[in-house]
Amino acid sequence: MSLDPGSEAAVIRPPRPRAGQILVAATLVAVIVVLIVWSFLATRAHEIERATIFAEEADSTAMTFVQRESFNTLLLLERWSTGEVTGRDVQIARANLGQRLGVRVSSGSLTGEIVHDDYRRTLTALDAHLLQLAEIPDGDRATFRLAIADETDAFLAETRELSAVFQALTREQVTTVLEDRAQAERVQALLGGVVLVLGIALAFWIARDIGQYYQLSRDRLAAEREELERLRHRFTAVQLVGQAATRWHERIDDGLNKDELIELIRSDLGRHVPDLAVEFDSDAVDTVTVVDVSANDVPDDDIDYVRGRVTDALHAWVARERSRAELEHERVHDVLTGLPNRLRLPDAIARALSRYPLVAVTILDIDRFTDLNSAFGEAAGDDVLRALAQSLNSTNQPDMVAIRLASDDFAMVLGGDDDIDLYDRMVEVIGSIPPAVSVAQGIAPLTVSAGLAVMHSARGDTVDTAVARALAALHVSRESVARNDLVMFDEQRHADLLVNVREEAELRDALGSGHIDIVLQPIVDLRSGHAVGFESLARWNCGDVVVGPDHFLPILHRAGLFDDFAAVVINRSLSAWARLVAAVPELGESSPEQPYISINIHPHQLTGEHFVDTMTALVHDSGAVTQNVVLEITEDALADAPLVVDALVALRARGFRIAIDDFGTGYSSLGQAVALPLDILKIDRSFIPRGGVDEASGRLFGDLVGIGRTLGARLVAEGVETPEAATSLTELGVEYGQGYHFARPMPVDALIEWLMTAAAPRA
Amino acid sequence: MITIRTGTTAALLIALLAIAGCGGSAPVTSPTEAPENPYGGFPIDPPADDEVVLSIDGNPGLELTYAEMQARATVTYDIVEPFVARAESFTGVLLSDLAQEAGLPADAQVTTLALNGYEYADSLATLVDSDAMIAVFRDGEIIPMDEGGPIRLIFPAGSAYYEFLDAWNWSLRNIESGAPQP
Repeated sequence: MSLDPGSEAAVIRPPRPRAGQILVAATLVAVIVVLIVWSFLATRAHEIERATIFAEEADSTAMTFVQRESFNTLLLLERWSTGEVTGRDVQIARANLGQRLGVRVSSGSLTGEIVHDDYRRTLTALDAHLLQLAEIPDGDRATFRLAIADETDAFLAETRELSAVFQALTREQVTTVLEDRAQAERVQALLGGVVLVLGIALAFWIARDIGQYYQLSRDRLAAEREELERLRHRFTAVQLVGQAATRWHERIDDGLNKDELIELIRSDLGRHVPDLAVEFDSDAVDTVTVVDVSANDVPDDDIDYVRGRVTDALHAWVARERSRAELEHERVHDVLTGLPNRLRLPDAIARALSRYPLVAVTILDIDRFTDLNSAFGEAAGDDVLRALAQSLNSTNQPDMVAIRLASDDFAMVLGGDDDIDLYDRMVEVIGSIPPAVSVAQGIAPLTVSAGLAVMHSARGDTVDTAVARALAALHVSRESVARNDLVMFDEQRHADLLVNVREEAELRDALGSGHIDIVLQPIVDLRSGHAVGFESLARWNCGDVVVGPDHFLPILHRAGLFDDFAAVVINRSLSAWARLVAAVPELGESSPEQPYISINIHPHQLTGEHFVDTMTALVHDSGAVTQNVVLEITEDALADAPLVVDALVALRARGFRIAIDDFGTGYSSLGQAVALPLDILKIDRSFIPRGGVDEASGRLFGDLVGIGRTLGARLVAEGVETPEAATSLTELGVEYGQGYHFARPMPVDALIEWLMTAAAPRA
Repeated sequence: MITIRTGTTAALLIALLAIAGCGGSAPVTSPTEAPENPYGGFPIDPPADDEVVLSIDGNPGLELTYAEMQARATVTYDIVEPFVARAESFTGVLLSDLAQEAGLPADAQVTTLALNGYEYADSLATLVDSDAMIAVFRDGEIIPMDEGGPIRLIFPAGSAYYEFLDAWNWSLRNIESGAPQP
């Protein structure tokens, strides 16, 4: 049977009556009609038959009378012989018999014609004697009677025989009737049988057709269901393969290796399309391809689909592998110079240590690279870095690995057996560095400082130790005036250097890992007690110890990390302000006493090329306005007055407010201060008395308040630690105070809580 | 055979005439020389005119001779005689008249009795209702002894007893009151 729904043959029509069936049915109807007519006629015949039987009964009675009158005649003859009756009586009896013999029966015959010949013959013989009876004398009657005994006996015998004759006659008639009737019933039975046979045959015929139709329909239905099931299964399988393919890609993104991927694909396909087998070519390290997809009973479309999904997955894996290799390369290599970057350093040292008892780790940097950058531009700086990298990478020390650590810092790792030999070889390497590099703007001089530390594999020196020692040696080298000086670390000589170097390294880490925290200290309106601003203070969260800026700023400057640090402080201060405003919205609202966050700025930052724009952009990015930001500079910043003042003027024009920190401790004179564009003067804590104010300090404060008023600047007293001091300062006309008396510097969360408490002074 | 019978009939007729002559009775209709009934055997002389042919019980009762019966025969029924299946015309006396004359009560039970002893019992009323008649002549002739004569009980066509042949008593002799004697 075709399963193609479009095919003509697939249409199953309900069975229609066949010509033969119609013929049989017509015959059946005809026979039934005949049977009905026949039955009707048979009923009619039956009626006639009944009438016949009645007539026969009458005939039978007539015949019985014949016998009766015969006996009566003989009886009277006997009585005549004894003289009881007359001869006429006997003759009358004979006449009565004659009456009975003259009766016409239903068949039309007379009874006298029906009786048998012997009866008639003996009666005729007797009649001859009966006729004479009247003439016989009374005395001769007995004799006469005896004389005719033969005739009377014969007649008596024949009379008796009449019963049998009548019986035979009746039986014959009954037989005929019954035969007719049987014949009619036989015809009826025959017709009935024909009806039955035709009916059953027709019923079977139609039933067979219906059965065949039903069977055909059922087969067809089953086949269609099977086909649907197959399609559904196929659809499901395709869907599942699709889902599995999505999973393959996810797992590929997760970093599945080749064998795991193949195993995963095989497992998924085995589960969803068990009839399908995929052969992979995975001999090459970084590629895998589908060699063959074979299947039983799987349509080509599905095979193609599966092949497509598997191939996609394999391509994705190959692409990921390549991308990962590239990323890995980029991760461990420096883009500019093509050298391995600092991440490869431990690996390079470890590899050297695995082959040599001693490993020299040299760290070098380019002398005055910042100046070089400033003088020739960064592109020239890059050219110099590339030239240096090329030089280090093309020495006659094939075992040596050159690494670019950062900016102008490079490391070289070289294995060997002897300290001196290693040192000599390193000197040779450094000696091969070209003295100058040709750049677009001219000739850039190239000299380096370098520190070398030797690691002993037997001593168990760590990479960190080695780097720290090399840095310490580099530090010494920088101090040297010798060109391309290589200093070898000496335990005795350089022990103190190690501390600084370690601190620098740790501080560098802290900057990268977010261990520089920001705390805020409220600045309070002395009269109202409300917080008007918050100074942002940096803390180095160094393990269990929190270190203040006084301690780590020198290290930052020494390590050249100050720019990074300052950027971190600005960013984190602005974030802290945003959080503060989010928790206490009224801080962000515009008001005459504009609340502010106060950020400490180094003069070095102020003279930076884009500081004003960068600062403005950062403030806007944080969601604040420049009016919310006070930039604090130390008084000694005024040493670089011209540049600094320009920057301050520009900043004020953008809406920033400027505060002079530690006022009174620096070189500035009152005259200088007058020339400065400033908004707030912060009086150094050294001027603030612990208790009440004496006369001398009272005069000093009077002058300071006077200057502040002259400049239109607010005065902030730093380090207010007692209520007495606060009271005195208020009386002296100082507007704002900052110090432990009001609040300690605290993290933003704590500050928010402090501001929320009922007792807290509010802006 | 018919010839012989005719001969003997003639002889008998002579003898009977002699007897009748002796009796001095009324003239007697001669019997049919050749019997119509082929199985009659031989002709029988009809009863003498003064012979009582019908006795009816009752109070006072009634006895009628053959001549009286012939004299009273005034009613005619034209019927198909059911025994011989032939159209015949019978003339006789209505049973109802005779019963009334004999003084039989209308509701009497009667038994008709033939010369050969045949009996049929019924209620008088039923017989009268079927217009029973005692026929004396058939087709204008006396009824031969071998064809139900001399008198017989008949019913007209269309009556209830026309087809009930048991009641057709041939050679009727007596009508007795009551059920037949056991």
